[in-house]
Amino acid sequence: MSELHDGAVATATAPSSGRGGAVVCSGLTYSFGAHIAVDHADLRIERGETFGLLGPNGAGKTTTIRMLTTLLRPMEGSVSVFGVDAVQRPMQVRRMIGYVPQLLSADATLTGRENVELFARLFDVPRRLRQERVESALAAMGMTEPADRLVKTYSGGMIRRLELAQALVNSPSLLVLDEPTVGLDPIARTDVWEFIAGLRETADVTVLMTTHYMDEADTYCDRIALMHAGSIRATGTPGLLKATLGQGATLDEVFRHYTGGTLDDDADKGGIRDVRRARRTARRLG
Amino acid sequence: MTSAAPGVPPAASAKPARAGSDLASSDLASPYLAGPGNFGTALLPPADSPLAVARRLASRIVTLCWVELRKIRHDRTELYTRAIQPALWLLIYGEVFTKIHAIPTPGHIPYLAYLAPGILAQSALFIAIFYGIQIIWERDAGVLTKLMVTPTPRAALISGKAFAAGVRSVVQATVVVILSAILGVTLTGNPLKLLGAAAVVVLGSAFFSCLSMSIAGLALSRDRLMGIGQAITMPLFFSSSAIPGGDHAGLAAGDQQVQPAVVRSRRAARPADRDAVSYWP
Repeated sequence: MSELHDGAVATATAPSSGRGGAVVCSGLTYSFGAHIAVDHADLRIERGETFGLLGPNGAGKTTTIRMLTTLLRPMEGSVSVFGVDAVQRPMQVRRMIGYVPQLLSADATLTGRENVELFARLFDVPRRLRQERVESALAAMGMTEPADRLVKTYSGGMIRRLELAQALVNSPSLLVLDEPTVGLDPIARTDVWEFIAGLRETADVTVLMTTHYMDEADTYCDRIALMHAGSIRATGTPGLLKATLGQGATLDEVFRHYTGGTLDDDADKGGIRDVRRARRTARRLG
Repeated sequence: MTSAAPGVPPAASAKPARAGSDLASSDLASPYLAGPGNFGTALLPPADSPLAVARRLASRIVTLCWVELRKIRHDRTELYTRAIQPALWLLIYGEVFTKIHAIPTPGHIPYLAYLAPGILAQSALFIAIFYGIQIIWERDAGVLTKLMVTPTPRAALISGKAFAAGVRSVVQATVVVILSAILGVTLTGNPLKLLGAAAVVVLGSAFFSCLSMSIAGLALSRDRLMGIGQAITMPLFFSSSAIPGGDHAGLAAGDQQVQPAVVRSRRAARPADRDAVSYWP
């Protein structure tokens, strides 16, 4: 990886089948006016691994995810998902992706089952398979029992699990989770992660997630990339990244090391916006 | 759809359905086991062929209309609350002005019958304008982002929402028509005319919701759009048959015999008004 700043960090420890990577970003760049959000980022995610993209607010994580989910067109560089160019063939890329955005965004005025069925329809799941797929996705996330209740009666953790079910109904090859546990209480966080971990045991799905919780990244990610000021600063397994800082180092320390311990300086980039979003989500959930 | 349908690996279609929640995870897993290799280009339909585009568009319109109907089914509060304003117009404004004959209407048509189509159009218009506000809310809440990551072209998303507005407007228009009938407005019994009126309500709502969503794309704020929405609806309402003032009243009332062609053309221009609640003897 050309962006690898620390030579001691390993890059590829994930199960690789020898085929191309699940996600390959090369020289990815995007700017909002004068502010360069992603600056020539290189990233390779192997098939079947759980990959964590970490970084402070405003580091460019969400912008990167938006480019690989075809929501933004890269200004420079390229991004491919399972060998398919996201700029040239966005529809094909979208069919391979299950996406769970940062905000809790299931439709509160529909039931859980209808929310999942909506996505089955939007992903063109054939009618004869639709019901089976919807039930399977709900069951995989433990949402069968409350499926016929309106989503506005759900807790935050339940909505997140429902959103995962929505993302799974298409049987995606790549699951993209943008801060999947943000705003959830510790029990709901663990709950959501147990379901994601359970999914990994039964399915050959590649997971890309962003998070601010280092403990989550440490426990659940096969590999992580640390992003700061728009570029990838280091990539490797949590164990190897910690080892580069010496024995007994925590992932928190690794995070601070690679982001220069400038979390406070970055507050103006995403802090206010994140607070507004969190408040909006809290209001919607009552 | 065939097993080579987009997004569905063949293993999924070949797998028989199994019951029981403990098996559900493995059911779900089966498509994955086929792996991403199944998403090779050979299995995908030519995404840009006109047939594929038309099918996708129709499918999204049906899906978003289905969502709208489910929402109405779960919560009819909006249906009832949105019926209050037209009811007040018809009951108070319509009844009073019919009794005092303050507003000239063509022939011996009661003012209420003249007003009812305008109120129907107004209801549809308000619903359609609301869709711009709704799409901004969906954008803020992240719902739109999630929809845009599905294989749904932007145009299909907007078309789907436009027709969903049409569906909701038809449901609301039905309430207004029933209310008008109760108040004694003579309705046409011709089902073709009623269907025509419904079609015009759908198309009219689709048009105004598209307008509203286009403005939403520029305004990007619900507060701003509410102001713009009001600025659009007010003059349109006054140009409808609800308020037969100015040249509108003159054209329709005084010159009915003299300028039948003009009146007919106006009828053709606003068939929703004329066909839904027919006051012609």
